[in-house]
Amino acid sequence: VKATDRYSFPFPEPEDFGDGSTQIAALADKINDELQGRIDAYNTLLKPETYIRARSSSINFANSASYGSIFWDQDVYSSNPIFNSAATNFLKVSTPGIYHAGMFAWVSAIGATNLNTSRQFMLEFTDRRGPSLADAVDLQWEQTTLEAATGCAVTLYAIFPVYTPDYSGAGLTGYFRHSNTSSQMAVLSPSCMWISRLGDLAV
Amino acid sequence: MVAFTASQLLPYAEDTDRVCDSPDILQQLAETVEARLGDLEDVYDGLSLRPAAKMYTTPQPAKAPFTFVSFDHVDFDTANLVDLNRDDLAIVGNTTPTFPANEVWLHGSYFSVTGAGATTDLAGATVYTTLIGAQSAGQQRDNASFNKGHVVDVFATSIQPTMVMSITPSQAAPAATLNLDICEQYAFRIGETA
Repeated sequence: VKATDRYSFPFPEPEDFGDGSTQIAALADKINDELQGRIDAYNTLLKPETYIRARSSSINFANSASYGSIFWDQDVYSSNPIFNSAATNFLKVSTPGIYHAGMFAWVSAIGATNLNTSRQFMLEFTDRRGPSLADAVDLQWEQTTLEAATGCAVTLYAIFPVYTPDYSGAGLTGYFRHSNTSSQMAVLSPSCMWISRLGDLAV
Repeated sequence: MVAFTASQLLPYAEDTDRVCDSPDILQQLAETVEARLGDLEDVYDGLSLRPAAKMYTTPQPAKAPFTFVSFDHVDFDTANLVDLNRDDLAIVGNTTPTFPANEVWLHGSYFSVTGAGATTDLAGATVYTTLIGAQSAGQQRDNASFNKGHVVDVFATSIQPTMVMSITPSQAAPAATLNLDICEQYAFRIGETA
């Protein structure tokens, strides 16, 4: 019995024509295994690692010069229910690759507003791009808007590679701060944050 | 007389074929299935290793109005979409046998700029960012000393896209000069058009 070069599909040699059913079965079994592998791979590709978290109710932030992380209390979607199942302020991923992520944040003062004070939002992904802890990096994207008298909303969006998802500090976090001194600001429902895998990193 | 399946042309024996021809027919079948699976694997590779790239700048002073932002670093590039020695402005979409033409791309940017002088240089100014792909243009505004923003655009093209980014303050003076603190430009191929 000989075999093809790439996938080793078996086929009989010319003088070996007496055992047709066995030869066909061996070829069919090998094709079956290869097809199943392709189907599994495509199914994985069709269901990229994706997590979406939201606020089910408002959460208040006091005026501060420092960013505070937004706690996400609602799982909207999780491609892996075991992973990221607990409500936290960050989202982790399990597989290296290229990801895109975003945050929609809708905020409003719960009391008096101070005109032209800032509302600042930041999306941050922490990763480790080398063997040591010193190789940890915080990738950050910010957006600022100035309050007039009503609430405001922003959407942040970013694309980035993830090299070391199993690093304990690796994950996506959404932040908010503001300079509205007369009252706290509420991050309202349905503010949300998400991350989804786009594909592999080049080898 | 060997017959073939309708769409994938897989060979099989008919009742009239001689028993001694079976090895040849099985060899043809094995080799044809192998070729078809190879095609499927190429498609898979084109989807899993999606053409994607991101460029960014280190902080640099620049005069306004800018024409195009030049980049000095590549964060990632899965398909040789960027060559800083050849062109430090653009992400150039490539084509492959899997995706020969008629493609859908996402092109985006993130910027953070400050006035080169006092921060009041930019008071009241609006910073515009424009993305230029095959058929795309977008703009993003931000305000005062908080000049950070995003632009994301999705476009369909039948030609090889060249994607660049420009940034311009709306106020000619005194905000005539900006510092680029952070500028990112990225793109990835979403897929083919119908």
